[in-house]
This record gives sequence, structure tokens and C-alpha cells, in this order.
Amino acid sequence: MRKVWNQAKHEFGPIGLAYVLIAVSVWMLVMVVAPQLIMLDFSLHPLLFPDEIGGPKDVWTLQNYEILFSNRLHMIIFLKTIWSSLLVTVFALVICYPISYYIAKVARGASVGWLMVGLIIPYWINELLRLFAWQIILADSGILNQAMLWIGIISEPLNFRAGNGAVILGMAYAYVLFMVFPLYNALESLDRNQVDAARDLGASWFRIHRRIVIPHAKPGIAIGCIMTFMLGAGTIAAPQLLGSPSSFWFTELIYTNFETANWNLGAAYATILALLCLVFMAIMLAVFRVSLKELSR
Amino acid sequence: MGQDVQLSNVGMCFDEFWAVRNVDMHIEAGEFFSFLGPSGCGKTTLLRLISGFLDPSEGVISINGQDMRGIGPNKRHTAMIFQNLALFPLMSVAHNIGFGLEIKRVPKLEREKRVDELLELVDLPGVGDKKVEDLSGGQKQRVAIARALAVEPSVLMLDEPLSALDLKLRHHMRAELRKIQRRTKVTFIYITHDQGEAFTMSDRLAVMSDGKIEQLGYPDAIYNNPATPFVASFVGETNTFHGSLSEIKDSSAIIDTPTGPLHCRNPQNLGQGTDSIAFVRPETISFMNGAQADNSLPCTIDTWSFEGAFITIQLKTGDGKPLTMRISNRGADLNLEPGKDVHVAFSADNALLLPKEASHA
Repeated sequence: MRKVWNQAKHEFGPIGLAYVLIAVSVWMLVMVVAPQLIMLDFSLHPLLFPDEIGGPKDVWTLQNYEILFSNRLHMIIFLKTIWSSLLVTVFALVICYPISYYIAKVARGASVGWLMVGLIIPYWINELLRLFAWQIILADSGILNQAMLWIGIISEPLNFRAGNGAVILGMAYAYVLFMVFPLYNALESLDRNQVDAARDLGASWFRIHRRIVIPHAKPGIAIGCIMTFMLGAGTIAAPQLLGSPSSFWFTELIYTNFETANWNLGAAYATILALLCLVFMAIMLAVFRVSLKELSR
Repeated sequence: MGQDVQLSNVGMCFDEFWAVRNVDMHIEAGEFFSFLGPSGCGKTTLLRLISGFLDPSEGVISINGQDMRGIGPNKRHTAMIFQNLALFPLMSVAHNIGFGLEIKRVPKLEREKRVDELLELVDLPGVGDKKVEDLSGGQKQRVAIARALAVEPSVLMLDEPLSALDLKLRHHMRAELRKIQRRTKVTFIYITHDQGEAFTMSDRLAVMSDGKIEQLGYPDAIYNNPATPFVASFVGETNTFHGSLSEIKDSSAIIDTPTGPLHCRNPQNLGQGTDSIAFVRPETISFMNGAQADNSLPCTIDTWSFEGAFITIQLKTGDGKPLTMRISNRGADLNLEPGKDVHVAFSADNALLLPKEASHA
């Protein structure tokens, strides 16, 4: 610790160091810690009328959290969110692994740059607009239905947005890049000769990936999954734009609570969502036996 | 046991660039064969063709008489040791060596026994549980050899595996590789740009340049009788004298060089008037001791360096041409001084005449 301190002092000078310390701590306290604590505080208080605040009913309680477990509908929505986010994560991983492997290890020269640009360009457009694009594609009279009708595969337009399929598709599309880049980063550092060596020793492609490539890419897979899952669980735009009116998502539930002035329940659910993401992260790190140190690789 | 490798008119073209051209040769079963050449000469491409990572653009490669077209590296009885070894860093030493056996679904107990035997073979008993990163350079080398030998290949290919080692270890590993090759009787195909490695280990070798085989033969034949100017100048050190062939006498010839007429050996029977180069090895030049020699040149000593067993002397001929000679150190004081005038000589047998037009220089 002392060494880090001395090194920092040497690096920044006393004034610079003071600035860094103050800036970082103000940022952390005001922008990160304080709002979280305020939310946590909200979530631990019951919903009260303004004149009851500070009164005898204003006590610390877990009752907001208990609602999730007593309200069957909320629980179903919560579980659906977990399930869908997992599905999006798996979907993104399955799509992105071959793409990343191709860009990192197979493609050469200029084509790597073009593929990268091709992946990044959609992200120059706002997420909402991209989801609107999907709405246009998947609408009853949308491009996809029109095309399929024209070819003659279907005779009636299909309602793509009936279930949760469209939302999951939209989320997977929106967050693919957050899976591609960690994977690409991890795969890029794999020595091509190791793949060749395994092949030379008789391994099939499946074996090479299972024994050599995937173990090497573990930190990237873990990060990609964590990011995709968190974004998927936390998105509100995709379900609102692509979901059917009958389907309701956990983020929408939180939003509605804030909108209807039940900040306390909204805060409790938001905290639960944050906890869910933390738990998922812990599980991923444990499953892939990745330490936090390895993540920085 | 080793198997033979036949290359029939093999060529490899990458985007209009021929990395390997017209390679027609045979490597005997159980032979230690080397490809020697500068970087970019196509030797690695040739190795990748034999191991199956590349398919030849033309020609056929057969191993043990079997046409290898369409057979991938995982289906060939070949194993490769990569230049950077390509050990699997996330696996233990034992898992590295056992990888090929695991792929072949060899039962665990048998696999472990085999891994122990291989560790014994490469003189590394008991390191199976170590991580690859905990090994020294030489140990990693041996693990890579053991891993490749584990699958009992008929042909083992080695892509400059010693280049990362320090000099002493490299010399030691040469002997080790040769020993392992003799013990296992596997066909070794070794590629290197280091002629010392190629000469000391190989039964036979091929010198490559620009994707072509310049010369194939026994190490001493290649050193003493290079077939092309490229081989003559790439293999070993040499002095060159450019000139026109003026007179033919039996098996020898005389060329006129700016330094003066030189008597040379003319194995390719070049005709009179041919633009030629005479190649003279530094170790074949000696100081004149009064006896009659075919070629004697008055020179001035420029510099000299003492290398222990040898002394290398840089001379300047009468016309100012630099000349290198190397004499063995017999302990006597040679009284070498820069600027001193001396007479040096070499026999016609040691001046090899080759035609100039084939020269790459």
C-alpha cells in the first residue's frame, strides 16, 4: 500500500495526487454510493403518506421485498426476466463465439477491419432506433411478413410479437457486441500454433475447441455473459418497443412503481435486480473458475 | 517405426507467390533429414505441406507409399514440434504429453504409464504434475518432444525448435535429439537456418532457396562440393573470386581474376570463356612455407581475431580485395601484426569453380 502511495505521489506530484483523490472520491460518493444508499433506504421503508413520514409508522422493514414473494404475478415476471436474460446470454454466446473466433483467428488482413466495422456500425445508431427498426421488420405488415407473403411461405401474416420471442431477439441483437468484444479479446491472444498442435495430435475441431480454445477464452466468455445478462435483465426499451401488451417485464414493473409514486417498492425491486446481477456474476466467475484478477487480462 | 516421405513435383502457391516450387525428392524411413535455408526460403511451407496443414497447389506427397491428398493433419501419422513449441499452458506437463493419447481414447492408466515412459525418454522423470510455465526452456523443449512422440508418429517434424535456446543448451539438445531419433527410429524432418544444427544432426539434408531445393545430399558432400553458388556461399564461410575461365587443363581450370590467374577445380566442366566464380574456404588457405602451391597470393594482414581453437585472419590481396583465412591454433606465436606482408596459398582442389549465371548474389 505504502509503495502504491509513494509511486502515485511520484507520478502525479502532491497537487495532482490531491486532485485525483478528491475527484475520484467525490465521483464515487456523489454519483455512485449516495444514490445507491438513498435507493436502499427507500426500499427499506414502507410506502407512507407524506404526513406519516417521520412518524411512528416510518420504520425499517423488509415488507417491500416480501411483496415479490407473496405476489405470484410479480414472481412470474421476475423469473421470466431471469429466464429470458439467460436465453439472450446463451443465444448471444452461440452467435458470437464463431464470429469472434473467425475474426480473431481465421480472417486475415483487411477483412478483419471490415468485419469489425460491420459489427460496430449498427452501434452508431441509438439503441431505441435499432429496436424501432426491429419493430418495423417484425410488425404484422412489416418487412419480414411482406417478404414471406410475397415468396409464398405463408398465406397470413404471422404475429411475431405475440410472445417474448421478439423481445429476446431484439435484446440479443442489441447486446451482441458486448459478447463479441470480450470473446474476441480473449481469443485474439490464443497462439494459433496451439490450435495447430492439437490438430496435429489428432484432435477433431470439436475437441480442439473444447480442450484448447474454450479454456483459453474462459475469462472472455465470463465477461461477455455477465455483460449480456446484466444488460438483458436491465433493459426496458426492448420489452417496451418489441414486447406484446400482454407481456410484462421486471424492468417495466420497476418503472411502473416509480411512475405511480411507489418509490419504495420500485427501489426494492431495483435492489433485487441488482442483487440478481451480482449473483449471476458470482456464479459465472465460479463456473468458469475465473478470478477477478484474470478478468483484467 | 519411421516411414518414408515422397515428394513428387510439389509446389505451393499463395496468391501468385510460389513459396515452394518443383520439389521432387524422397526422405528415407528412419532418416534424420534436414531442410536448411535462409528465412523465407519455403522450408516452413514444405513442413506444413508434409504435416497436412497446407494442401500443395501441385504435385503429390506420399507417406509410406500412401497419397496424402485430402488427409488432414489430425489423420496423418505425423507429429510436429513447433518453433514456439505451442505447449498447452493451461494443462500440466503430463496432460500436455498425454493429450494425443487422450484424443485416441487410450485408457487413463495406460496413458499415465506411457507419459511416465516418455518423460523417462526425454530425461525429465517426475515433472508430470508441474505447470508448463514452471519449466525451463530446455525442459519445455523436451516436453514438446515427448508430447509429439506420445502419438507414436512415423514422421516427426521439427520447425527450428532450438532457436530460442542459448548456445550451450542448443548444442546439448542437438545431441539429445539425435539420440532420441536413434532410439525411436522415427523419421525426423528438421528445418533450420543454422547449418551447424543441420550438419551435426542430419543423415542427409537439402539446402533450399527461393522455394527450390538447391542441393540435396550428405552433409560433407554439401560442404565440400556445393553444386550452386548459392549453396557455396550460404553453407559455411567462403571467399569468392570472380573471373573468366581462360584455360582448361585436365580436371582443373584457370580463371583470370583481378587478383591474378587462379588454378581451380572444375567439376561442372565449364567451357572456356565462362563467367565463373571460384569459391575458397578460409580454412583451406594457409601461409606459404616455401613449398610449391597451385595458387599463391601476396597479401597484407588487415586484422585478426583469436577464437581459441582457431585464429581468423583478415587479409588484403595485392589488388585490395579482402580475403579471410582461418588457421588452427597450435600454440605457436605466429607473429601476426596488422600491416605485415605475407604470402598465402591454397591448392587448386580447394578452389571450386562454379558458373556465375546461376548466382543469386
